[in-house]
Amino acid sequence: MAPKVEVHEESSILQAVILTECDIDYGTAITHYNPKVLVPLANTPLLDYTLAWLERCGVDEVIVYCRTNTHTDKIKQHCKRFTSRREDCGIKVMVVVSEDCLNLGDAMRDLYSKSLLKDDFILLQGDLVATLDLQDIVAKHKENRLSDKSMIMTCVYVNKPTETTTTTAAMEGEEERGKEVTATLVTAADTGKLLLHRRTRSKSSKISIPTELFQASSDLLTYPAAYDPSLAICSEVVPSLFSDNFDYGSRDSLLRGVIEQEELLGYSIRCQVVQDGYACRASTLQQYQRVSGEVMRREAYPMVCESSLTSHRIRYTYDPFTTTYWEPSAKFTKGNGGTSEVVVGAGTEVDAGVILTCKLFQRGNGGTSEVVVGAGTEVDAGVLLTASVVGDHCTLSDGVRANAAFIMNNVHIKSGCKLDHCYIGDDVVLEEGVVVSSGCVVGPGVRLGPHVTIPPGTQLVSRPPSSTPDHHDDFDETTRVKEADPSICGVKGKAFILLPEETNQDDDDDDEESSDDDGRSSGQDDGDSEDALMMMSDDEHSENEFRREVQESLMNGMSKKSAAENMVLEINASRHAYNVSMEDVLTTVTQGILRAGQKQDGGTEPTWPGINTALKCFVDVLRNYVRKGRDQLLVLNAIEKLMVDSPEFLPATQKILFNLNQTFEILEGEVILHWYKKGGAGTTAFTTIKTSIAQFIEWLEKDSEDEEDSEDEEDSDEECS
Amino acid sequence: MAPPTKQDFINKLRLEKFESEQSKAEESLALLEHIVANASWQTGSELLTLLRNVDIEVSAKLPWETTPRNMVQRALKIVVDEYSSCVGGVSAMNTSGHHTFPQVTMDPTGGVELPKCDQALPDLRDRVLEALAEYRAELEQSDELIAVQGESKIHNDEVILTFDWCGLVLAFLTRAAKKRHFHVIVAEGAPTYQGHRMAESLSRVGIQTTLIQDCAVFPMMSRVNKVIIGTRTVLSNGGIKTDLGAAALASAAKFYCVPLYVCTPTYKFSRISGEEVNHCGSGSAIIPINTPLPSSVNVAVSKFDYVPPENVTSFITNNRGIAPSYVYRHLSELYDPAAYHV
Repeated sequence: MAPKVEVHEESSILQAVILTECDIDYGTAITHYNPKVLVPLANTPLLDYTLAWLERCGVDEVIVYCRTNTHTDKIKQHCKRFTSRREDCGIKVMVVVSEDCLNLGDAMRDLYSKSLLKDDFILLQGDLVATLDLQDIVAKHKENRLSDKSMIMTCVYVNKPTETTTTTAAMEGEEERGKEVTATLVTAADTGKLLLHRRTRSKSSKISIPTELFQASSDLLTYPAAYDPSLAICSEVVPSLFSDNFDYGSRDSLLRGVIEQEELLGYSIRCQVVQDGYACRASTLQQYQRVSGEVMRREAYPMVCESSLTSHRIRYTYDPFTTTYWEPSAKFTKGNGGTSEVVVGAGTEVDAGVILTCKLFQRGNGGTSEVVVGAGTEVDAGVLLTASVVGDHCTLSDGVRANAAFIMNNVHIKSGCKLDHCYIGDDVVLEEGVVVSSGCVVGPGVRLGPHVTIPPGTQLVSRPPSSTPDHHDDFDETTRVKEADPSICGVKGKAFILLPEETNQDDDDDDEESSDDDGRSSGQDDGDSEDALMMMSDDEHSENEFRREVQESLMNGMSKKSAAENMVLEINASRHAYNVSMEDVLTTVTQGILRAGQKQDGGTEPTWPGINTALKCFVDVLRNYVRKGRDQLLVLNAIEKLMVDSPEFLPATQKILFNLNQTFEILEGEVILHWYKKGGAGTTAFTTIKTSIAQFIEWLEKDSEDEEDSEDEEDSDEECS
Repeated sequence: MAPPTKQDFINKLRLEKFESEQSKAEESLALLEHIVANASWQTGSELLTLLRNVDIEVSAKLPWETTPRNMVQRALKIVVDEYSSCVGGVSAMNTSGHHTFPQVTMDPTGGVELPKCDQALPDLRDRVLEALAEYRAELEQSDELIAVQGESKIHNDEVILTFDWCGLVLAFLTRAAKKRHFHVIVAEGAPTYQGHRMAESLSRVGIQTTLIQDCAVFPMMSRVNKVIIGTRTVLSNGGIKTDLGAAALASAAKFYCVPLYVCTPTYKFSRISGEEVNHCGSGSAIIPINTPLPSSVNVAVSKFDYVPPENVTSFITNNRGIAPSYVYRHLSELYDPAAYHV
């Protein structure tokens, strides 16, 4: 009995893979010093939210996957600390490092080759803050998988009401955000099978749904913009699928691949759109700000700011009326709402919005709302904080106003500074009167001021951008700006502007886009259409190669009398090698079989007995590819096309069709009749074929007189091109 | 079954896997028994420190969970008693002096140290385990002891108002219904709406049941004869900390001079006072899904309500009926004064 129990235990281990190299970054000014997943959100590293959630959901083993770089050790140490602080081993965290992992696909391939994944696993990004009920989702996934073996993955989406925020409107790149995080989904209503997945790109309110989707299922469920937390429950097939298809880079490409080639791969994907629970990725800085606000508003309950996620101790005092959290050791110099009014009344440039905020939140120390203040921080009276996070051991002097500012540890901000929608790294010193505009990132160790204004969207670092090999552009920058420019950072300042590395980021985007769209929409610029042309010629070449290979394997198979499944395997291998569509395979196989019969006979003239033996030999192969009415039409068209190239087959046509119809039962009489009435494939050979098979058709018509001949009208309406 | 560990217990508490306070109490007692039986300790003081660590850890992580802390303090008291009775045979009565005349110093800031129990007594472990087993027996039948009082407290044709779900109150009313006919009004207990479950269970045992909204208790109160509710914690001042909505209910009862009885086993009597700890929930609990609220709306959700002692008529416990003003007295019987400050 003992081994049986063991087996059971092993199969019940629930694994999760966290990718720390998220597809979108916060920019070098932050991630040069700290990996994205360890950036604190409300004074807790992002990774902790993910780990705590997984632990809560009863995940047994977590694989934290990261690329070899300067931060690897930091992540390792962090995970070690995370597990050791909670003493028990409820959750096992394993850090897997790989040399050359560029995207999700690489990570999957690597994990597959290391065979670390045993069963169904949860795939997610390290910047996810979520409280969804994973156990429920996984249970549903397993249930679906039991009933439908072809289902390999459950994608989880969240149906979120779109929030009408005025605060985030100030942040740029609004549409950018929508595109990244939402997806248009079309699913079969009864099974939840994903039929269409598209990133929302346009702002138009129209969605185009391909008509063939309506054939497969009568009930379609459409989600125009479901929030995508990049969360998926994958079966063990997924990594192998990634390793079979080296061109799959991201989850989106896998989705596209599986949906488009469903017949070939025989896999399907389900999706679950979850209604309750919270999930949001802090993927970009804008999202970071949003998630931070939502965590402070306790939407991610039970992960709330006041209890530490590592030790579970209550670390902050929480005031529900102003949504303020502070560590007991933080010092607030006594002040009241009056002070803040004085600040406003002093006539410094304050726009109407700020005055409003002051009046609304004139409670406690200078008026604060949605604020987290860390340990040992000193906040003077008259400081106005809204929607901000202040780390440990900071000092904020009188008259500092911060709106949606994320201030890390050991930051000193002197009086009169104005911060708006910005990120201030560790050990930053802001002298008097510094204005940091929205979208700015001030890297660790920067000194600024006094009295400078940082223009919106600037990234500042304390050292001249280093000449690391992967940032060539920065190197050019360095040569230009060796000394800190006092006009930028003030006389006491020490900071360098980091120009955004446009090349890297944009390349990725473009790749993504062109691969997303190819073959479907017309190229957007010259580069794209050129690519498309290249693809065409490539396709033709590979098709010829493929035809040759299939012919060869058919000939071989015939002489060796190979089993049908081996033949199918061989043909599929060639198909994968040359990336040929399913239709082409069928055409090629049909023609190949007939040609094989001709060659087997020895002579150049095709004779019926030769063809007959070939057909008998490969009938199972053919049957494997012919699955529905549409495929039968393809076979008929293939035969017709063969006649165009080699009219010597003409005399045998009637017998071929008769045998396929009667003996092998691959072609249905109705389909043949339909095909015949519609005029075949419309090639020149059809008229001759028509005469040669007239007898057979006549017989068929007589045979099916009692049947309704309009039955499959709808089915093959548009197929018969 | 794996031996209970402190960590497992706290995780279970944290993940809210316990069904009721009773199961929390039973499991924490099992944990304490395990510590007494298996941990390596020599003197009574060492044991007391071990036990108190559980209390400290729970209070640091989940300060609103009072039941496990009560159990620890009860166990501390048992250890001190057993120790002093062991020693008592040898030395004078001075060790036991402090619990016959409890010096209740209501000083929450502490400074009080654990009693000194420095001698290594070989039979202390067995005696403590024995006493704990006795206490476990008491614990397990406390619900039953409360339920049997049902018939004597409820009369025919009375209208009883209760609130939210409470297994103990349900048992109490069910027992009473065997002999009496009465009508129960249940307040639904938003936002968890456990009152619905309560109403269903009551009507299943054949009690005439009416479900009302929480905010409708006031108009209903004039026809009510008794209010019977459960609680999560009985505070040291005689007030109770319980689910949201109870305070309004109690005030309404006070206004109409309707007696309010609180069914509680003695393990819910806690040393914490007033509304020391309020645990805050999330706005998502009260805002329906797919209702977009602008983020400028501040949503505050608290989880517990505080009913002041003057609004409570009496506690129905497994020992006897206790008036709120006598809770302090009962506490000094249950717990050791030295354990106050933790």
